[in-house]
Amino acid sequence: MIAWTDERKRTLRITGIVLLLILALLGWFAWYKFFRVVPQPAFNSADERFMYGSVGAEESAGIPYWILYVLPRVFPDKVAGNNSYTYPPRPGPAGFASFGVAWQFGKEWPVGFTQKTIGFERVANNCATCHVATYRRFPNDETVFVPTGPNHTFNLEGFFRFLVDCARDPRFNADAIMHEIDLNSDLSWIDKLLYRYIYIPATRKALLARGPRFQWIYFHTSQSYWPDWGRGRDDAMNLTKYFLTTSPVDQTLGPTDMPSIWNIGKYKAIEEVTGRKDSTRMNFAGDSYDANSVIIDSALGLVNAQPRSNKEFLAEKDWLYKYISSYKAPKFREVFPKDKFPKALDDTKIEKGKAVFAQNCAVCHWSQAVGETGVAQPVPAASIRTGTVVPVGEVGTDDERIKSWNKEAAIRANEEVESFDIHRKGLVEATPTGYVAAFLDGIWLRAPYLHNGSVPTLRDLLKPVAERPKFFYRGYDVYDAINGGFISTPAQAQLLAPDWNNMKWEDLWGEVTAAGTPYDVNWRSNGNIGHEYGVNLPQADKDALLEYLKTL
Amino acid sequence: MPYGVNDLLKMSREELDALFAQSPAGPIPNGDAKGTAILDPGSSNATQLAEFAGTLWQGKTFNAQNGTLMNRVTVFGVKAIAAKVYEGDSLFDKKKCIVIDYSETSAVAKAVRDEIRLIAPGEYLGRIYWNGEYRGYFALQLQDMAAMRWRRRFQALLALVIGIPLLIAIVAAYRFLPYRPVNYANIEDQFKYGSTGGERNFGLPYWIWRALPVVFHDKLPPGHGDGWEAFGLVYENDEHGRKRDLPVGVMRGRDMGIDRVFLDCAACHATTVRLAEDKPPKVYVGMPAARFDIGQFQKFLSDIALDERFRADVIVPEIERQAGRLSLVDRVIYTLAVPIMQAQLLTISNRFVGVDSTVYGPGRVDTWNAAKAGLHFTLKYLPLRERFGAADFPSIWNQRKRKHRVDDQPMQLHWTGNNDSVNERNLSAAFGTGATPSNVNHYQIGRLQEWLLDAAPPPFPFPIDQAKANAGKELYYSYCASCHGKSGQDFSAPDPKHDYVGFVTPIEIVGTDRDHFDSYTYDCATVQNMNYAGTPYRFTHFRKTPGYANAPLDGIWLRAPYLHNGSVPTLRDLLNPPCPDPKVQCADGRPWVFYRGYDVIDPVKVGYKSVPSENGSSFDAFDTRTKTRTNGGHLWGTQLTSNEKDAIVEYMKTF
Repeated sequence: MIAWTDERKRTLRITGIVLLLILALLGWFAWYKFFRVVPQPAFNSADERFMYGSVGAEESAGIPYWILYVLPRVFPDKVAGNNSYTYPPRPGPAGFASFGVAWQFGKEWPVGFTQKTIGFERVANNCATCHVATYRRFPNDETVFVPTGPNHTFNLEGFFRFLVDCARDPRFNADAIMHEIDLNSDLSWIDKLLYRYIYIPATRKALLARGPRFQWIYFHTSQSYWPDWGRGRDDAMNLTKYFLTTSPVDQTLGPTDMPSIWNIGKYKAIEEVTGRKDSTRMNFAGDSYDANSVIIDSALGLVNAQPRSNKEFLAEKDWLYKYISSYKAPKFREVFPKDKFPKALDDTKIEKGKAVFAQNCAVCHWSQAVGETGVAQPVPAASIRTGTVVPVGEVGTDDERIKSWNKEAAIRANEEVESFDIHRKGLVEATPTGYVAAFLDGIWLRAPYLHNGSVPTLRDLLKPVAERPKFFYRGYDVYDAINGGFISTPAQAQLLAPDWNNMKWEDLWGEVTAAGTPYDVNWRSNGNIGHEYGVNLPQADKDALLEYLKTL
Repeated sequence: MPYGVNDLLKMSREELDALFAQSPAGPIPNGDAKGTAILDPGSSNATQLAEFAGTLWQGKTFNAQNGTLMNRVTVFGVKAIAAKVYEGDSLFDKKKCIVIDYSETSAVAKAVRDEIRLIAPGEYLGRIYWNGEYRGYFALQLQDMAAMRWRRRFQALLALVIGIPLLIAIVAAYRFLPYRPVNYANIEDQFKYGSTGGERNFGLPYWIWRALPVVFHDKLPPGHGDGWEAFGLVYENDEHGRKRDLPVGVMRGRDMGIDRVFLDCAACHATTVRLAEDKPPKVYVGMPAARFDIGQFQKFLSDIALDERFRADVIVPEIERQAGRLSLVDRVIYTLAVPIMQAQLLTISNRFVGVDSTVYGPGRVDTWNAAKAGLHFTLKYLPLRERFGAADFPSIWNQRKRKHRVDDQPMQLHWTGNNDSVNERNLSAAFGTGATPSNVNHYQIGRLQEWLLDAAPPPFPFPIDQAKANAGKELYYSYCASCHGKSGQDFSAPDPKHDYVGFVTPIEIVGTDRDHFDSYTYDCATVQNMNYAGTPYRFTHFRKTPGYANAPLDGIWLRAPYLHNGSVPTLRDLLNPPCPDPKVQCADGRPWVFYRGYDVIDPVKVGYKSVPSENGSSFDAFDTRTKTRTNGGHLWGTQLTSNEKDAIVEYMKTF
């Protein structure tokens, strides 16, 4: 029996207080180093917010700043290479540029990489990673960044593989990574310990956990004619299938071009004009009901978990919806003014081209007016199919993208999002049957063409399948204003190089092949078949149509 | 009444004498007795003395039956130093006491005699004599000392286990941890020999640096002499007229317990020039190091790392031959340093696989592929057109004037104009000395930066024909000045509407060798722009540009050979066109082949004289028909008459 003398009570009280203080200090330390949320600094413009603003992915999918910083330096052998047709595959040059990210010099990270402190500085991604287009008008031009445009240079699959490959490598250990971090930084002793014993092992574990779900992006090592996505493409539905719904791995493959997401309000406009509610569909195969659902599902893909706060998540979604609804595609004529680029566009043909378009294309691609204002114009009765699904048997394009999604996956995905207590119209619970007849606003900057990016230029798209290029490079960002597309073939380089300070075409082509990834239309899902509309028009009509298309 | 030891320690000698005198002898004690020395009775530090003595002497163990005792010495209480114990008369007062007599039993303590008397039960007071003379008191307390002895032993062990390593750690920390860079108050000395911080990263151990050219003399580039001079590094004399131990462009710092040395800024931006064959060489700072062959230097370091003689048992004896016998610690350090250094050399040289540094030649370096190697580019996988980038070292004077051009932007720096920030350019160049964000000495780099803002080249040291120069000025204004500025002092063009100084001329228009241009890439710029992340120094200005920058021509007489790749030996030759037929050397064309690395100025054509050898040293033939070395392009002024060209050259001597 302890006698509770005053002295004993006092000792107990003091011990208790000291213990509490120590616990509080430890708690504060843990909070400070792991959970403290520091809001991102305010952005100067909506464009900046779109390009660098967090969608809330840092906590669940973010990588500690210094680990991401040194990964390409510790693992230069795993950086995405350009040539998937060599064996063994060669790594790219080095650094994040090898992945074709859009990078505004002077910025901490490439476009679409968001930095936020949650305990420690973490870097994750937002919509802009895939939805900021870059172009140059000639090789010596300054790069232009177009928010909401398709990122046709980013090698997303290469980036996914890189992170998993690094984690799988025995060099992903504290010694190797801290050595490189020490060379590049001046971290405090505490932060070094945290990196060494917590952040590095935890990051490795998290990246390794992605491995099983990424099985299908490694099928190229075991299956013939299984192409890399290459620059500017994304196997979106398989990503949704394996990450959001954790469906079993199947053998489908459906990489498609990163889409432009500008002026997304046009979908509402056409519904209002036609009076047919729910007739338009989103995504290449019409898998989703509305823009709202697409933004939610895509952002959830980035967060890769239930959002910490649905309220914040949905508020950011609403801001994004507003931003991209009102963002308009850049006008070809403004980018290539007549006085400086006389060859870029032949104005005399536009009127004729417009007539050809009305005759041959408008049925599916009612696009004038919405591109400019988003305000509904009287819709020609014939244009009623715009934004609706065209059966694949009719359009005839490569059908693998359709096969990569199905009704069961849609049901599971909808249930999953519902379970997060997020309500949206959601994915269409039906197996897809065809491709959406797209709006063509800003089509000039949306090269290469067709859903899988299998046709490099607008001019090529107006040719019969047999005459379209069978092998080309995608991901080089100098624009070919004459043909409507990016420089992808030697013929384009030969055509354009002499105009640029009498450059040697081989030098230009060297740049294309160094930057771009090769594309072979004979490989799986890469087919450039179908959509043979207008291919039999007289040459003069085709030329006129091409000039008109550039102006959309 | 028992006396506490503390009481005894406080007593003065007189009090102790009195106590001793009044106490009886008592019986001969038996068993352990704890001892306390009272060497200087009554003094204020008696306690400390007793504690100190206690570490040497713990007490005594008596054997009353045999009349003997053993002392317990050292902290471990080891039994040693025997004595006889018997009853006898005290030397103090001739009365009875117990005598402890060492004279027959101990060689060590032969002269000692102790006398003890019982002052309380179990407590004795003892007097110490040395050769019969009083030396102090001690107290003995009979007790079982076993327990205390173990405690002492444990304490002692603890002290050993913690104390000795701690002591070693302190000594080692003092020996190995301090970083002491060698810096200079004089800014030119700092430029030539001062630390940038980079030696902590790339630094070779000083004595190994000294030993290498001797051990691997057969790996030096042949025909270029011995020692580091073989690479075109130059030595100055110190204030006593003796040759300095390190060449110009090599810095030093003590790091990890040894002196480490590596190239600094001056290695590439200072060298010697002679005004005539019989004149002494003079070091000019800020000029391109036209004699230094950094490519061969790099090859040497790569080659020796693979050589079987790169072993401690070959290198350390050579160090001892030069330095004299090394201390044991130094021997261990250098023995360990050799394999560590070898591993680092191999790592670095592996980064360069895919780029051949021997094609640089003296005065040239492949800057961007070196940068790429540092930034983990896998050079061997890069397209071939990127992998030949050698170009001349530049001069680095007058940086302040380069911060401004006609459009109020800074001039574009580097041959390709890929960066317009002087500060970033300097930190970027400092990477070459090994200075990384974690070790760079911003203060010293800042001093050099400040100095280079206004450091100016020396004037042309030969007479100038003023009339001819004035005629040349007019021609220069119409043919050269819009891109290169009015003079070596005024970098603005005569007509602000046509001022292209510090801008980039597209490669197709300037038409010079494009290999260096191709070696710099967008990818390289993006990775460089990540350097110094997390600091205010973060790079943001690197760009891929469309061609070569139009450079101001200050001190142009010291900047031969000309064009970015050093493919034209003199200014006068630059005003001649390249030869149209690659098989025939034309009469008035730029020379196909000339020699680089010689330091005698040609005062007429302005440039270095081209000679194949001098005093047994040979110079490098520079063949302009090979990769990175072509001398085409930059045809401005080549259509003028010979006299007009001479006049332009005369005017440029004033720069």
